[in-house]
Amino acid sequence: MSTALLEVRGLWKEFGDLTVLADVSLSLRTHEVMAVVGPSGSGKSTLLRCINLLEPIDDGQILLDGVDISDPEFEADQARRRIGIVFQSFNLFPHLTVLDNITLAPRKVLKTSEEEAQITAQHLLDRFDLADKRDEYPDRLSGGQQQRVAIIRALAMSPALMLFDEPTSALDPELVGEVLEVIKTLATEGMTMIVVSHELGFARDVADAVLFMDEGRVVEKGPPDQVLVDPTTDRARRFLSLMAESG
Amino acid sequence: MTEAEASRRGPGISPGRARRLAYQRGQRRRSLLIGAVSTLVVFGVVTLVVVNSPGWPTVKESFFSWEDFKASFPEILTGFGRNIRIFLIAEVFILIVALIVAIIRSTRSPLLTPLRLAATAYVDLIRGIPTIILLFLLGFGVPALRLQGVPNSQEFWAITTLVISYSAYVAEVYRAGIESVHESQTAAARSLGLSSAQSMRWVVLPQAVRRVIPPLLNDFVALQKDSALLALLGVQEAFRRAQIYVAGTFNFTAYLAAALLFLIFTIPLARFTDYLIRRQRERVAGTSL
Repeated sequence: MSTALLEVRGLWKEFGDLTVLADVSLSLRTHEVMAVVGPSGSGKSTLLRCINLLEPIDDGQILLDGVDISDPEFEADQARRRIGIVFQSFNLFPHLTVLDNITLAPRKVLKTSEEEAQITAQHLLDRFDLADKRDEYPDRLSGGQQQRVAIIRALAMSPALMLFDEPTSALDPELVGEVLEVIKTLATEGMTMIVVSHELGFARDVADAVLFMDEGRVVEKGPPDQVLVDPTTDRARRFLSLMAESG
Repeated sequence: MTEAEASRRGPGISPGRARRLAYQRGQRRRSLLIGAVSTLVVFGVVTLVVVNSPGWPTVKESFFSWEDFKASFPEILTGFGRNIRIFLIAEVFILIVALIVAIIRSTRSPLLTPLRLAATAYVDLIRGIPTIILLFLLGFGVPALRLQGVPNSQEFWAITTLVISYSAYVAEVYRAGIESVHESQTAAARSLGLSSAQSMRWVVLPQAVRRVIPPLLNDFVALQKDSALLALLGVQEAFRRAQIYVAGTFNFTAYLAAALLFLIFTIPLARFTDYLIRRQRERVAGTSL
């Protein structure tokens, strides 16, 4: 497939006087995985929230399958159901069991029958080793398990594109691996994804392209071996050496 | 400390641990003793003062007459059945009306602006007017209009007053609950494609309502007591029946009988509310996130 699944053109986002995203452009083909890296406050999370239309944008275009979903006239709910997002803090629904967390959106949005939604959910839970947690409430699960359920909840909508907003930042170190493993599996299966992460090693492993952002701008863009190993800009070099020191 | 607990720490109790246990036991005994003695002293003194006051024999006769209690009780009990009925009917409507008002006040849709303004005005207005004045305005004013098809039963207007008055308070309780649900929950719901109405219905409201159950029950304890205001419209509830008895005998024991019935109903409700609040606090404390 030659045309892009997602194309962001000249995206601007401001909060009051603060410019959070300045002229951000990117393009992602089906089955492609893009990692977004950069210091905190560089606008990575806001970029994902804009793509998911959770934040209105101030200028630019977001095209999904060639359709401008950022057009104010466009029905935003239509686009959101095709784009799954996984948040840093999981955001599971605490009053619902794991199963109900997963089946809520398919049932209410896609009008899938309850049995059908449960079959899909059960299938996903089996695949990611969470079948025994089916009837638990989220507060009974570890952080890693909660985040895996959140991923399944997004997958249950069969999205065309998955966004991950620092999916392992809120986790204890020993729980990071199980979540990265799930994302890796999705990558090998050809899921199209954008992953915001501080796990640079992981980004090198799974990403086809890396976007380096700083102060709301795309500073560098290219294959991981170039951006993460031999960056051309000073800013990116400084960031990478800092990351190497700390981790 | 039981045998089982002791054995879990291995054979025998170390001397240090035994000393701690003995000390803790002593402390517990001491606080129990202090509590019991101070309670006895305080209530003993109060009783003595009351019983030895110059007016006590008269008060005893007119407020604590067992004969009058027995004579007035059946009538008052029948009246109290009415209080409970009024309370239950009013409560159902309050829960529904207040929820609608709260949802209207919580939405941001520009289409609903006029409704939102009306809801805000309603809450401000009603919370500012004493219930008793509202009761007179509606209970005597509306039937006096003699409108076609509008019921003029006192009980109907009494219940309507309670619903209008309490819904304003309860709506604010609901709204506090809705606003206490973190916006990340709405973001998660919207990101899955749920509309804003669906997010409200399936994600925000269930969490909000669960959180405000204790304060809601608290309002219902107050509602149950305020059902006695209906006596002022001539509704034959417990307080009204007591008034009638008092008017005929000049003995006030009947009021005490009515008060007792209210207490029997409200104290368990209040205790239950406390229990729910405590349980909720423990649940929150037990949640890691």
